[in-house]
Amino acid sequence: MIVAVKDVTKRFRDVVALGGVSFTLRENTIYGLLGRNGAGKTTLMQILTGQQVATAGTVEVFGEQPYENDAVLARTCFVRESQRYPDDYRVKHALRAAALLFPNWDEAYAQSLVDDFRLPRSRTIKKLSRGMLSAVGLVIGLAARAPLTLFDEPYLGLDAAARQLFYDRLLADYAEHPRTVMLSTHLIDEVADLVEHVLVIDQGRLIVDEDADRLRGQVVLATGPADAARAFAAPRTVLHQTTVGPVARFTLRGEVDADARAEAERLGVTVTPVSLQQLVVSLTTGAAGSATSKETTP
Amino acid sequence: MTSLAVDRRAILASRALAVTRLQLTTNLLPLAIPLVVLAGSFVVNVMVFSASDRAQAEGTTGGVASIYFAQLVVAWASVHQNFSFTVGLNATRGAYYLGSLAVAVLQSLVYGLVLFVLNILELATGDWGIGLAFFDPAGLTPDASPATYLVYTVPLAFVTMLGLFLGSVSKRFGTRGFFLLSIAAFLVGGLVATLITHLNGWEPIVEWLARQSLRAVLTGWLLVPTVLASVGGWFVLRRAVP
Repeated sequence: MIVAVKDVTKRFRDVVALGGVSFTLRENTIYGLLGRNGAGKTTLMQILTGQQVATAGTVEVFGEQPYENDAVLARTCFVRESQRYPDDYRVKHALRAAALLFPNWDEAYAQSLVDDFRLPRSRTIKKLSRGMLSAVGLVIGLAARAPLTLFDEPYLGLDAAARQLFYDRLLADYAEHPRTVMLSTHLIDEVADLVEHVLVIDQGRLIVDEDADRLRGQVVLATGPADAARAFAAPRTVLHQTTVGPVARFTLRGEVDADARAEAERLGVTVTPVSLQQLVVSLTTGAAGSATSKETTP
Repeated sequence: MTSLAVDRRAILASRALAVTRLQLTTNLLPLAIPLVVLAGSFVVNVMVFSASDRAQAEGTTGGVASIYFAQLVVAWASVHQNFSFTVGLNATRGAYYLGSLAVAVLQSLVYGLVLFVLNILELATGDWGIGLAFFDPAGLTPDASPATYLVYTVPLAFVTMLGLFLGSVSKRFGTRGFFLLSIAAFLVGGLVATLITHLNGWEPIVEWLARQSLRAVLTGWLLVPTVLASVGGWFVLRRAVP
């Protein structure tokens, strides 16, 4: 366990950005931190890296609190969408700076990534396109090889090919140099196969903290004649439901075992797994933001 | 002291050193600006003094002040340029600030040396042969003594620390916060001045100042606000968010 967050609350004046969040991160695991805009993902990552201080609760990273802790932060890399660079910095300057600040920095690997992402080494960072700017952050995040690496919306403006390149490089490097990675993104389907553990934040609250494979089995789509589908849904938690004519579709939470499948078949209800993205969408569109709230779409 | 505390200090020192190296090696442009400004000012003065009649060239120039203003602005801007970047890459604020202080001290020592050496040249060439007392406009540095070196260097350290302090304030509180704080500072200053007037306190202050030589003020007393600015900058910056 390299991160332990307990009852962390962060208030900005009268806005509650995080309300009583608790979780732990294991060593050498890729975490997906998912949630809507303004859910509190960035604030959480800032608190983990000591850039913000929690209003209440405790945070331990590598067994110590991270704020102004050189030993902890030297082993942590936080790549964020809004990373600022000095105005006159060129790409090579940013890499040189990162090489000085990250003890595990691999210069050869960084240079190969610069080639992969086709970054112009001598161009001023201010003049880079949005996608290239993101790529600079990705190169730093990967080549830093920090035992705890946080990516916050790291690829704004990056094209699909470059994003795929990032996933490939991340997985390959992760296999050779295991570390703990936390990745926050809105492109959930793209990272669905990448993340091993899913954390979902909604309105400052942690509503899912689950192994990715287990989570996938836990939420299903039950489609069938309205009465039959309703009967199948009755003992389960309904996350979302739509009715079109005689056909109803329920998004359900809860393990669907062999018995349940047999029951569904008897009722004439089709049970299909939902994608991670579907799941997060249905969990975070509730008015109250609660995982158990039932909602009906007319 | 426990060994853990020693470890922490060692790590802080190594991180601060990394920040210092970062600022001294990655991009040299900000370090060169004060010298470039000084060179520009010097060239303009040489042209003006060469063009004027030697006999009349008894005027003085404050051109050497250009490096002090440039250094103030560069130090101020450096906080805005480097703080978010460096702390964004997970240096602690402490490591950033210590590393920046080290750069500030090094800059003052080196630029002070440049001025000191150029002043020796000026003395040796008899004001560059054109009556241009560029590096000693007020007769404060008439020799090559260590005290002369300090007359150049301590004010440089002062403007650099002041720049770091002002940069920390505007970084932490934003432009609007900076203006509000400036207004507050003026009000407090005005209040203190009024109070001194009320207590008939100006006379002893002026008398005390008259007893100090300008060299003593520049090399000694100026260290007090220099240290205050550098410490104050830390208290402002340690809660700033990158």
